[in-house]
Amino acid sequence: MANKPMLPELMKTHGVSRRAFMKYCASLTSLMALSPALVPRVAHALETAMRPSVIWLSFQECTGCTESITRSHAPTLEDLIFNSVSLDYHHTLQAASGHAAEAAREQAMKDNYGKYLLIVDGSIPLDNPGYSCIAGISNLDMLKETAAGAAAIVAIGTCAAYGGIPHANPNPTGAVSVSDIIKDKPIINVPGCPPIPVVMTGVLAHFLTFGIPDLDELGRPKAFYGESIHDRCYRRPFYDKGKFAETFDDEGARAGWCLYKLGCKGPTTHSACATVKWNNGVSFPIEAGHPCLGCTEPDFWDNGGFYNPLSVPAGDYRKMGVAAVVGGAAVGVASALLSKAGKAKAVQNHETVDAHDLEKSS
Amino acid sequence: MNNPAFDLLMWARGPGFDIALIIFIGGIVLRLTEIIILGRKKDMAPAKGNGFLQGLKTIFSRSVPRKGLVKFAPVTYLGGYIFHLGFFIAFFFFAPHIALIQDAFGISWPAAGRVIIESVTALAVLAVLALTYSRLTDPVRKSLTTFDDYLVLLLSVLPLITGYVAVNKLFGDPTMMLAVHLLSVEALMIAFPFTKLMHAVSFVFARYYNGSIQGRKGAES
Repeated sequence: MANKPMLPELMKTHGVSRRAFMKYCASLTSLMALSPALVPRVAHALETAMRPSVIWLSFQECTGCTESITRSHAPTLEDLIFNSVSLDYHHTLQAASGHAAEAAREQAMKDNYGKYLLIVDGSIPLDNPGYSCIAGISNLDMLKETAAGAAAIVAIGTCAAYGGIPHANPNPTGAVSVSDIIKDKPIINVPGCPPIPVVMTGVLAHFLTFGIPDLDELGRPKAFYGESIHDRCYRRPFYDKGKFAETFDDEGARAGWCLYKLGCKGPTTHSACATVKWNNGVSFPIEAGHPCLGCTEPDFWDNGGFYNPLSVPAGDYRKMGVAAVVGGAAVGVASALLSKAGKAKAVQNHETVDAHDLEKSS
Repeated sequence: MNNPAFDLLMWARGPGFDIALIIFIGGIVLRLTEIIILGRKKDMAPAKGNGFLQGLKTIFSRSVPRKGLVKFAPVTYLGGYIFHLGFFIAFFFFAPHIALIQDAFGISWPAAGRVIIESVTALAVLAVLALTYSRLTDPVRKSLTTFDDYLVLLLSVLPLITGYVAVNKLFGDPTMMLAVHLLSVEALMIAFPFTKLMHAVSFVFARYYNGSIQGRKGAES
């Protein structure tokens, strides 16, 4: 790492002006929800930091997270790769393949042992190591081996952070998250299916400048996952007024009313979608007319149906209701008949008492 | 990695709700079947009025307060009405509840706005507090109150409080509070058929029987 050029030299070779660099630092600072007063500190940290080696491992995933991060606009992935990090292994983005690629990973691990940043996307299958292998090495072995020398781990995407779609019921591969396996390294979870591009790059930039950000109890950086979609949603006033779209093409849907009744999981989902938005800040799913699926939350795939409102029971409760009516009626009839029989028996066994007897007994 | 709050919410929306529903529906049907089959002893005397019509009328007329009740028992009178109306409006006109009814029965109606729902919820909670206070301080009411009454008051007010907290994110994790809200409703559903909460269904039968008995005798009720 010592022989790698520092940022100022790189900027010179890439023709980046000081002004452009400061603009980049300002956008990073605001993304990380830090005070504008910290822009010089971000700039200083980036200028003086050694570009850490980054190893990106992809396990049971769909490459959606990589697709997403390549669309980051501030900072761009190119910015990150060329200016801030040295991406030494990423089997989708790198030119090398097969043994040459594995050799690059092993070399980076050897050169930067204890200092490199490990990024993981995808879940890890525990049922059978053969479910997912890279160059004949199981995901579990590769994760354990690579995590051992990492300074920190960033679990990108809901699969790496919480198990995600492979972990969904009935979880045929026995998929688990990174934090289910690695217990002795700091882990930053950046969930989402996929995560917002600038959130991924923003978290990496925060790690490079100020270290590990403040995390919530699910390991997510509070700067990006501190608030619920519902609280920051521009359709929230319609929820408060009781105005809801009932179908995807009714008057309410066209008027942009709340999508709660169409299954929106915004109230229980923490993400920056409603504020940072997607595609360079163009819009986000709810703005495009689709309810939030809750993809930044563990087990979002098993949350009772994407198009069922949160308040609707998740089970097959109608059958239970019918069974209860039948069962209740049967027991009720039995109990009433028993009571009637008891009453008839009591009448039969009734002993007549006259005033004389009562006087005797008192 | 799991989110315990989410897991609890899914339990409350899944198996928890199913269990509560079976006990709630099964219990109500059981008790109603008993009431209907046991019936009443046949009145052999000649009828002096129409028992059936008087019974039907009484089902509704007993919802109108007696004259002088407001002076005689102001807390019971006002608190009772405010609680019942508040609970009904919050339950039947809050959008997420309508969504549940729509899913179950396929019918829906327009939802009320946040200001209305939250105002009536707050008033209903205050009404329960006032009713509880009057039970605790009035010596006659106190001696008439059983554990069942306090339990029913608590079970009725908990869904209102937890719902208010969950919607407004007053404290706690919002997902957890939503789960707690559902669990509080499930506790209410489970207790419903076996406590005085059953009056919400059985009042119809009790009033009909009372009204028809009086009506048959030619008396008003």
